[in-house]
Amino acid sequence: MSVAEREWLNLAISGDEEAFTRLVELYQTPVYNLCYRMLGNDHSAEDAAQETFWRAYRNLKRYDQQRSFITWLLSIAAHYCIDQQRKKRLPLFEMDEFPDFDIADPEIPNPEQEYNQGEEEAALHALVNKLNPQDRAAVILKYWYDCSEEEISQMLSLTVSAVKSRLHRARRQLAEMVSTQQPAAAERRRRNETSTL
Amino acid sequence: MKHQPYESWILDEVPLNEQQKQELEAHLKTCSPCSSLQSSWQEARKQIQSATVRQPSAGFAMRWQTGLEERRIAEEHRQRQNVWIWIACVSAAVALALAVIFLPRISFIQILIDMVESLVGLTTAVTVFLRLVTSVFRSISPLTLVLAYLGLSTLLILTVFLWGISIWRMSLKGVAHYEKD
Ligand SMILES: [Zn+2]
Repeated sequence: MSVAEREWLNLAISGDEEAFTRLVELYQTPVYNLCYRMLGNDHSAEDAAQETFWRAYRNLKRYDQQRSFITWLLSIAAHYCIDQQRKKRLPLFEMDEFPDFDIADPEIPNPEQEYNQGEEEAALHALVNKLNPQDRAAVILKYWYDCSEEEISQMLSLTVSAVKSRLHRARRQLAEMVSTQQPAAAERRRRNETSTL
Repeated sequence: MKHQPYESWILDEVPLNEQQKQELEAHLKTCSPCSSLQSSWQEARKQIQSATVRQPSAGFAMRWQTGLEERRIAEEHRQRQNVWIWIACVSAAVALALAVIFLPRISFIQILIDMVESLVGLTTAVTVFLRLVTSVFRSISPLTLVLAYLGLSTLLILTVFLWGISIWRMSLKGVAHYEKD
């Protein structure tokens, strides 16, 4: 965190709205990207990112300055997105018992959106969307944000061993999905290569 | 075939020493489930890490500022509502406490007894009234009763007949009106 950022943060904590807006500008992309990867579409990601900043703004006095500010923001965003995903699901089932139950977001994939995002992006969504929300958050924080298992455990309020086992399960699930998906993916790559030639 | 610890080595991404690497290599050559797990996970990892960072649409911070004002108003509204709910709860509690202190003789059972008593009173009154009516009828001569019966039934039949006619005429009028249109 730069000196200027630290100053904005201090001003924001003392109630300066302008300073907080600066922080929103600065951190909008990582927060938005996390919400997008968690929820799978722009509309929900925008709402979730705005809600994240609102929650941060209201709880700014409770922010522990020893922690990194972005880590704190991402943790708020991850918790919010996990809750959103859970609300969408049937409350009767615990996902851990039904790992193959398709929880893909019904809002996506919209064919047009999918086309715009490109097939690779759509395939990635399809892949990540099948993980249960907490596993998905762990994978996203690990591979998109380079967070360590300790950091993830703090951000998701889990123990380190729980994070490890979640990541292990998620990797296995992703590998299984890719292996069933592979013929289609290979075909897609082949077509991309021929079209670029 | 035993797949541990190879599965964990593949999936847990723990750094392996030279000897472990060679062991894994050797196992992958002979075990197709582990080797396909390895290649599938590598493929998944590649797909995840090749994705670009998604940016919000332009004006995110501006939308934040506009939203902040709206959220603040909504929050104030909610807080005011909470204050009213709180006041209502406290008033109810105070009223209840006062009732307990100042009205010690009123008990739930007493209210129940009072209700039963008034019900019994009502039943008695109705019985007395019915008895009175029967005794009046008994004292009237049979001829008067027959005449009264005939008069009343004629009146009733006439009323029903007139009512039927007026309904019939009204329905006829409605149909004629409809046909004119
Ligand atoms: Zn094996």
